Amino acid sequence: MSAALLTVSDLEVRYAGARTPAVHGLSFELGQGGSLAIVGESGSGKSTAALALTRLLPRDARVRAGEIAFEGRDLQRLGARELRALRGRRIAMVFQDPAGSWNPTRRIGVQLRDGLRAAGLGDEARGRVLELLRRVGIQNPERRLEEYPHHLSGGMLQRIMIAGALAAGPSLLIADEPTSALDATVQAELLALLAELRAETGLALLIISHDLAVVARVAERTVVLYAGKAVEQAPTGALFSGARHPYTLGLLRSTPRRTDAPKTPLAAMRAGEVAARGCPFAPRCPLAVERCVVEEPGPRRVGASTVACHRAEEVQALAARPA
Amino acid sequence: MSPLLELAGVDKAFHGAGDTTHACRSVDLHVGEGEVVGLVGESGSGKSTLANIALGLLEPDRGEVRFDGRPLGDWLRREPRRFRSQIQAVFQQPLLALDGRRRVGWSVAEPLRIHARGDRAERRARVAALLDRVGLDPGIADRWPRELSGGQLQRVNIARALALEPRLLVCDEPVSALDVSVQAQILNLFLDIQRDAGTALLFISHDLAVVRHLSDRLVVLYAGRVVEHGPTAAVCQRPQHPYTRALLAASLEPEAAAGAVPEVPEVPEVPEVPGAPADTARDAGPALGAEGLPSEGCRFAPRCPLAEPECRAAEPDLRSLEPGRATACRRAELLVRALG
Repeated sequence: MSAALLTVSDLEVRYAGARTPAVHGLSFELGQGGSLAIVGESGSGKSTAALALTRLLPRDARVRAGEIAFEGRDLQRLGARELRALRGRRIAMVFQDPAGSWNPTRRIGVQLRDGLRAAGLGDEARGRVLELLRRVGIQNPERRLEEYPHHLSGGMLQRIMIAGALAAGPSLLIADEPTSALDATVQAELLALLAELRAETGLALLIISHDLAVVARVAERTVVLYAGKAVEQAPTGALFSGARHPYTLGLLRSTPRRTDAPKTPLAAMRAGEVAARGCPFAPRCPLAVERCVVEEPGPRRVGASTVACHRAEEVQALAARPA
Repeated sequence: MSPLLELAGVDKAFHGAGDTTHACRSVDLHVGEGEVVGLVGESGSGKSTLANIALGLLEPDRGEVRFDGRPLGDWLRREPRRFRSQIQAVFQQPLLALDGRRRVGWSVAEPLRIHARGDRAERRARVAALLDRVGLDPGIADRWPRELSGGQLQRVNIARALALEPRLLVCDEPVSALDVSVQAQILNLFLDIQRDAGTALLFISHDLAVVRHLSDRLVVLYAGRVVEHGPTAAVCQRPQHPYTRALLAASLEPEAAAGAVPEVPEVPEVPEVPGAPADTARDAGPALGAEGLPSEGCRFAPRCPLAEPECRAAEPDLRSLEPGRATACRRAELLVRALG
């Protein structure tokens, strides 16, 4: 891997009043120009983890980490002003809801300009923005900038958002469910666009998603979160072909796919609570044994994965069994 | 024998301030007894409008809707209750579909009360049986909706929909708000219900993978029109409309990245990127359903790699290239040949 752009070690986020942390023990490294996905279901802590990196969480969230190093600086030690200078300039962010991210009463161009000013860029950046808008597939960008958000489709708004985010030439784009609100054909185009932009500009991508298929398209490495904990981390291809955690395997097998015989039951995971003790996944796990209930598994290396499971060696045998 | 549900030539437009949205135009659709029909389309394609028309919640501007061979208007005038007991709905947001001030069991029993089925004790027993049927602990009847997870709530909604043993369930995006692991459980439940009780399903979703998994037959909507329909396997293996093909190609699967499953094959003679586009063409997406849509000719033409001048001149009708299927594409033969 190339030099580390972002190193996170032992991240923990705890909301005031919550019994358990929203994220704990999360560590990963993202190289310059690399791409990493954090994937998990609702409540897994994936968005919390992303927001914690740039300190965008509400005040009642306590963030602690061994290290959150970005371009050699520990983000935890930066003052508010330094951090603001970093956000937007070096670290750009794009969120899920393209319509909700815009003010409906103001023209697109005005909002983009305000965003650029907040990132310390003046009107001279306008030319660059127009160029980026064309690059992301917006025809007649000058005209589009005069329009209001409701005139544009979700796909277009998200493209413009990405163009605006990239105007300052950041080295890292954090995208939280960037395509989840979009239609399938638009989603596919946008993911292809993100991949092209990365190849052209050397931008690194941290993508947060609930959707394994999205992750598969854009991320070189993937971290799977369950109940705030990284249960598996591996190169994306290896994760999908050789999952080592029963939860990863369960997610993969829950996804309907074209090779399935139609109208056959999916291999659904059983429902269950998150365990407060031992392995959080144990109540739902087909492999759980006594040890899983009492002793929380720590991360260890099995195959290409770093995995937190006492029985990781047996997961692939489970994969070979029919549903 | 007439189909259980039949829509013929259904039009519906919504008039806003100064503009009109044609939510569906000349839609023909039918669901047979015990059949699962998947209705797939992107946002703005008119799927929910069709669901509401089928349920008798919206009146079409033009066209006929029949249930069990009888016009819907007739059902609703003469026997509204009997109609409603035979057709039930499951919607996308499970929490919004329940009364938050009532315990779960009350909501499941509501149709039984309205239709005066059984006495109190019998209804209680029936609710317990229904909850058990959908995989919930009957004790959940005493809980509040806000205490339940999304998956549990959707099971409660399904239990309520099954209370009167309907012949048809209209499901409008019933798993879109759920996590993938929960989605799989609910899809299995629908399969189960269809198999055990022979309930017909009109299953509506933007997600082709989900619809494909469940349906005997697929109906593909684009901009308010049916652009293709046919048996699920045939449509997915050999699409006859470029939009269906685009949906299939856009349907992502994790294994594709891992190389375990080949991608949808590229078609050498069919370029991937739209050619000379209209103004909004490359911006693609829902915008074309809502705005920037051509007012004549094939609505898909601006995004279509196969479009020729004629496609923009007149809207193509559905036509059949093989029994049991139809496509509304003038150039379908070319696509079929290219896909080999």
